[in-house]
Amino acid sequence: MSEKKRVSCPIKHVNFYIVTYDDGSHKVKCVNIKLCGDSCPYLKDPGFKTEYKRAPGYKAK
Amino acid sequence: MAILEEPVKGVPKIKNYVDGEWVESKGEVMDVVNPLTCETIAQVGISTREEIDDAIQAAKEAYVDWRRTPPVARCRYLLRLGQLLEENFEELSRVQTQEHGKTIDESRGETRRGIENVEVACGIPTLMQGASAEDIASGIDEYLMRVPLGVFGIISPFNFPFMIPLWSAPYAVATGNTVVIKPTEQCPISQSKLAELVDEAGFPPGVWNVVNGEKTVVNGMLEHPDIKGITFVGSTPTGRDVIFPKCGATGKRSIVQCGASNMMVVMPDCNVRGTVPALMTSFFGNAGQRCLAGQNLIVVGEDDGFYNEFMEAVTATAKEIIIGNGLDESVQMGPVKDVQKKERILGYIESGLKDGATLRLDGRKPNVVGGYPDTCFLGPTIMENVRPEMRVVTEEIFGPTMGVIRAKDLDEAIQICNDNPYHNADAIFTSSGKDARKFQYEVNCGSIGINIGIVAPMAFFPFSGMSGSFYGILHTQGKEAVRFFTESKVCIHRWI
Repeated sequence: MSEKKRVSCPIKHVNFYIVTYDDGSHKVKCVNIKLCGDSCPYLKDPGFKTEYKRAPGYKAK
Repeated sequence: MAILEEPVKGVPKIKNYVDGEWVESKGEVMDVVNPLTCETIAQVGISTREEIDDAIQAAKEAYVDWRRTPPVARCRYLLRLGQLLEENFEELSRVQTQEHGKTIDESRGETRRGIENVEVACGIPTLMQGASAEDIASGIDEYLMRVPLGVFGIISPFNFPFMIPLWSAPYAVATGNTVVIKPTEQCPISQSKLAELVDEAGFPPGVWNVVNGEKTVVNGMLEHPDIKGITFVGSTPTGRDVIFPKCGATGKRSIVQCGASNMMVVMPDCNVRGTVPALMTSFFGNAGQRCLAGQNLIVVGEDDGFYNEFMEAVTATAKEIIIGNGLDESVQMGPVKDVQKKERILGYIESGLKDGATLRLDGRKPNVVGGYPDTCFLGPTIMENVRPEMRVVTEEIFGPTMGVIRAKDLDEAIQICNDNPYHNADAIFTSSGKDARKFQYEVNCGSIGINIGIVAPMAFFPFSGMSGSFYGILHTQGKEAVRFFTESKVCIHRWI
């Protein structure tokens, strides 16, 4: 294991973990993984970021 | 982004769930309208007095065996329910968006918060334990047990139609009581879906009942001698003038959670980059239809430079909020629930303008993406030059409006918070621990936010509120809910 990262899932509103191994593979450690199955975007891309924003971001001038 | 599929198809008839059976109401039928399209998506029966009486009787009969069921066994039903809620998470969330109009992200958050209450209630074998003392006198021991009371009524509002009954029901049934839930007649579909899962989880008939309707059902609960207590979430006039006094007159315990006009206090030393987005969700999330929403923004300090710069940031960001179909994941604000509510909010904006406020951002004619009718839509509205005595401050608007008040210092801001008739959830945005602590200590309201715009207590903390926003002693959620749904029984014994 090279890295363990805690992630906040925007779809199920839960926290879970992504474990990345030395060979570059990764595992999603989430209580909902069986329920979500292949629809979990983190299975394909551990760096997945939703485009959705609850509020527009504020960019300081 | 693509628009998500709607789970409610056709126009289903929403039935009551009584004694483990689905029963069609004999009362009048009311349309359930999706505020996005103004189309009828379901019909619901407005139940009669006989129908609420039947449900209470079923709950009373179910109570006899249910209270004898060991707490750990009762929790197994809740554990199964929690699992089913996870399996149906997305459908439940989309139903809320369809019946209410909120964005799918807001619905998913609501579903999660509801499930968390089921999870917390699964700790009942520990949470409802009493206390004991040995040798209170020579050879005499004393112990306290928390025992259930019987049938409870749960009356819920339209703004969080799925979650709010779950602030009460899981704790009520986990502690051995039985419940009759009256969902809001405006958004009853998600409670019907929840009852389907309760049924699938295998709860014994009569433990969890749902009776749809209006005042007749509420009065039926209030006047029925077998209802031991009521939890209510709704408007202050109904809670203060009807529910609370009637519960008192009939000897029922009650939790009465009402309206709000929350204050968001911004200090000149706040982190602007973090504060502005927090204010957006506070004031405009759920289209402002929540008792934790910010209604008034108090900007502290006499420095016009900070005020103008801050308000420019707030206004520019609010203008960017995407308004439209909540099932489009790029949308950030949906419609308000119906035309009457929109008219009411518009009335408050007019009232503010009449009293001397000025419009910094006019949301009365919003740009709705996707070509939907703007019938129930409003955009973010920002009013400046608002004074604490105006109706837009002293009354609950329940819409996407922000009234901006200026205060010369923190003391004046705190005074404004405390003078308001509502005391639900106020927040301060600052980088000063000293000011934050002063605010937390001196402001009289149920929930305090420090750099948090929506002060929503988690399931294991009470959903607090104070005068004007709350009537009663204990609150929903967590340990206070457990205390509310149980009576203290003390036993003193001596063996000679």
